[in-house]
Amino acid sequence: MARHPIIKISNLTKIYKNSSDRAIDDISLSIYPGENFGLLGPNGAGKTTAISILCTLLQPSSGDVLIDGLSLRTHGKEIKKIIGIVPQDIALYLKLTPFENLSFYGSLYGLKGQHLKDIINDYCEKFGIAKNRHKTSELSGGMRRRINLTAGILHRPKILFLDEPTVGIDVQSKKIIIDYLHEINNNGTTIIYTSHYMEEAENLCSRIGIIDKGKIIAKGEPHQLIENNKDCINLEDLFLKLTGRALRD
Amino acid sequence: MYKYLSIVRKDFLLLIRDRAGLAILFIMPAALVFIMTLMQDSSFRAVEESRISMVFVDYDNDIIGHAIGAGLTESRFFDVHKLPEKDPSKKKPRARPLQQAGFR
Repeated sequence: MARHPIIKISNLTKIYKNSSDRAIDDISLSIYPGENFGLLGPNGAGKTTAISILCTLLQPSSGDVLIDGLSLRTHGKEIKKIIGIVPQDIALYLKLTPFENLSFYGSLYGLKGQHLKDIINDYCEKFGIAKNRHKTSELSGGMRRRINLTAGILHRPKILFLDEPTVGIDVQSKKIIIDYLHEINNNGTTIIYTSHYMEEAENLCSRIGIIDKGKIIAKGEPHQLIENNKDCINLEDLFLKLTGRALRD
Repeated sequence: MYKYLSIVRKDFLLLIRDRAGLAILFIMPAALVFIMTLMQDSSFRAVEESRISMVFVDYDNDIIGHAIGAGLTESRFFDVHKLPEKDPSKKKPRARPLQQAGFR
């Protein structure tokens, strides 16, 4: 029996106001349940725009996206309940403690009372978060990243969008995050992940799409893409071959 | 409703932990009111203390004229110099010499 995609992108285009360039140019793509899909591309390629549209934060100029069978154009509220977003920039209130931050985000997802406290306690234990001792402003970058990730997964979403979740953190924090992403992916959560770390993407993702100038220029399983390009020994070689070595804005 | 309460709680916590924000929110307006009160008080006092000299010639010499005269005398703003009752035999205004002496 054919699998139905959990995310089906059809002819998606995004043109920002006061711009003639297409940030996203007629992309069509299907992502299946339980996949760990990596969206890779140089700066300004359209990764964050694509993720923002999929997270219902931006409206597409044309085309449509079906998420779990629901159209992004007509079922934004329902879609928000089944997705989790971990943004690239730390989205925490620095004057609140980790527990207060997580309680706030949990309540926005409709969690409350002892149930919410238990979930927060679980994650704090798992990620080594000191939940009450300090304000978030007094914590390290790695700790903030872990709290940022926790805020996006408190409600145990079906689909998790991660926009460069491991930027600027130490190896230990990165390992905890990557191991946890593997764990929830094995438990059925679909992950859509963007990163500039090719080695991390190669290890984490079951399938990748390379995006440049708003178009998907390659997609498939990482090892297959590398095998199909004989002169490339790893994903970074392939990425440079497809997107070039010129510096981007 | 629970979401809104969470937002209120979060904003309350942020507010009470932001001392600079609290100062701007409460102390700045209080300081502004205090400074404005001082300025206005001194300007009112200047107006009250400098009484305006005035010649009041009551040609009417009736109830309305008396009432106006009494009102001006009772007012703290005018130093009223009342001229004697009207003298129809004299056509020249009798207020002129006083006006030239500084009365208005």
